[in-house]
Amino acid sequence: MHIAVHLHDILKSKVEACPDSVEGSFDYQLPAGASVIHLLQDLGLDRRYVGLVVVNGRQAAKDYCLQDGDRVELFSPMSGG
Amino acid sequence: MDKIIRVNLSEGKITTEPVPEKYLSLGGRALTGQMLLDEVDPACEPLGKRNKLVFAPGLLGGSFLSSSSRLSVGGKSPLTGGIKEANAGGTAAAALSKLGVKALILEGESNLGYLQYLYIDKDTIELRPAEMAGHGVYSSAKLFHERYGDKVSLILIGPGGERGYSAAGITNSDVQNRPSRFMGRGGLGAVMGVKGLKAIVLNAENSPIIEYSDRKAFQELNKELVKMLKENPATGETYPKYGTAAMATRTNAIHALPTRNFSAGSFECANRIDGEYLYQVITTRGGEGDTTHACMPGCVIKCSNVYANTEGKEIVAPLEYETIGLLGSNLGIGNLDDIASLNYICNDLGLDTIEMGATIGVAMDQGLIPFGDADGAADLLAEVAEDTILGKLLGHGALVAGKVLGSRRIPVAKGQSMPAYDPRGVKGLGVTYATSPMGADHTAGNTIRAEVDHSDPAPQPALSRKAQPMSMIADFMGLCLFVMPALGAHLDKLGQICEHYCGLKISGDELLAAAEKALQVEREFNRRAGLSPAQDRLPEFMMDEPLPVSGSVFDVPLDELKKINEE
Repeated sequence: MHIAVHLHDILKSKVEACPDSVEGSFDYQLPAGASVIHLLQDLGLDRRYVGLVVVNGRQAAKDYCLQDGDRVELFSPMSGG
Repeated sequence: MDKIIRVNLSEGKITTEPVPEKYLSLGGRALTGQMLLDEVDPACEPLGKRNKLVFAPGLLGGSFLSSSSRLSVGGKSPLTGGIKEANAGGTAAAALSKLGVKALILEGESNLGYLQYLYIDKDTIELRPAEMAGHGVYSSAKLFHERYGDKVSLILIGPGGERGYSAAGITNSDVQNRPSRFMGRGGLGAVMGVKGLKAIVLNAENSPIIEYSDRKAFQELNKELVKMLKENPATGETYPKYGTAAMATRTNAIHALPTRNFSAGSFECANRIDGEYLYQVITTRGGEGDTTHACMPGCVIKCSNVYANTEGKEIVAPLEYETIGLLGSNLGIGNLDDIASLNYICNDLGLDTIEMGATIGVAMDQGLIPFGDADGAADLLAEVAEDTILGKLLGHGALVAGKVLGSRRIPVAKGQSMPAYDPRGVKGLGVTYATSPMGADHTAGNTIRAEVDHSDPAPQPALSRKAQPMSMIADFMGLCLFVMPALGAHLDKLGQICEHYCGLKISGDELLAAAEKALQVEREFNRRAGLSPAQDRLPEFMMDEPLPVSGSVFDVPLDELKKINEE
């Protein structure tokens, strides 16, 4: 399946597959049934670097089972402002 | 830190007292709370002579552990009618600690007819006439530094505090002597102003060097804790590079970014006010701008910044997420230059940017000026500066202004404006807004970092209940809240470093128990002040009006909220 990935701020520099470290957006291919955790593993992204996960504009858990065409946004953890 | 300074403004009398046994193991918010419960009639008028203001560094104040010198100030709040503590980084806590001051109490009220300031050095504690009365925070600070040099640290109020505005905060100096580190919340600047005190000048030069209980052990453990901070993704990378402004992308994504008087949850210009954009603007403009700046000496997180204009001249420092959320998206303003300018105006008047952002948001919602009108917002602040009737109205915060303007959409809890998290998007923090003794306060138990669905009401009471004492531990020790994700799982180590510093032997479990007790003290003050679990709720529009994109309302059951303070 094909998904769109959008990495925010520090995560842009953590993923080699990210072609544009300014935009942080790229398309990605995963086997059917993959979860967000699988995505992180595939991208070589240490799980502790990822806090919030948003899929198609809604917050999602890391065990969310991705669907073809999903847009996944990943954010590093923060504890407030 | 072996003394308490008591300044009675009614009598002009200053006394220095030894620290009673019961206060030795307390610091910061826990100490201000206990002292207020012991000394202040909770039913007193916040702006009357029976209220007191207590300043206290945390237990680690003045130590060289990173991020450990926040200054707490406590008093009865004119906004909430209950106990209030506000704290900030800066340099004043370390200066007080070097001067050996565990707490500084202001009591009574001056009837001299002019404002004074308090000067403290190692030999002198004296009230002096403040000829800078009426001056803004920045020009007042300049006058103090011209007189006393650049080594002194200032605690200061602006015209808002002098006039007793409920939105007034108290500021203190940063490491470069900007008077812009605000203990902003709760209207405590008004409490200081009505007592007749403009400022406290702290001259810690030639004070004896602080003696550590075990300096070598402190140094060893400090290395370990700093390593943890640097290896943590938030404190080691996100905060240092992008600062608190990076929160905007996150809250916008989960529909919790205050937008147009808390009516939307997401802002179409969020990517023009977030951390990445802020970083890009500051680095592109160069000059005096700085993306990574420490608010207190020795901080390794350095989440603060200096925001400069297109010529590279500083507009304001810092420009933080809460201000961006309240004076930016909440007003429909998507331009960082405009937000920075409004921030500077609020600072100079000595007003809390959160309270003023919420207040102007309500005014916009009621049609005084349109959303997005940055010049109009500046004009409203000019009314405040000129002390017109409209200005007075706004200076007393969102609840007063909203009532008079006929709003039924006033984003407050216990009379205090909400910070930059719409509680329909981050419901755990909504629980904290409703149930904390502090009123709507993001620093009293923020749940945003938890890996839960923030729109699901079910897990939120438990999350908030857990977050509130953890915040108290940070406030107790004078630590920045941002260290807690990295160090909060190592409370024993925090206890140990405390022991190496001041000799106080305290385990992690004891620290947690002390924090719970400090919360009980605050609840007891509020109970005696007439507050009850009946007030532990959020405005009804947030329970009834769904945010348009997410469809979310604040639906944590009222019974669940009430239970938190009945335990």
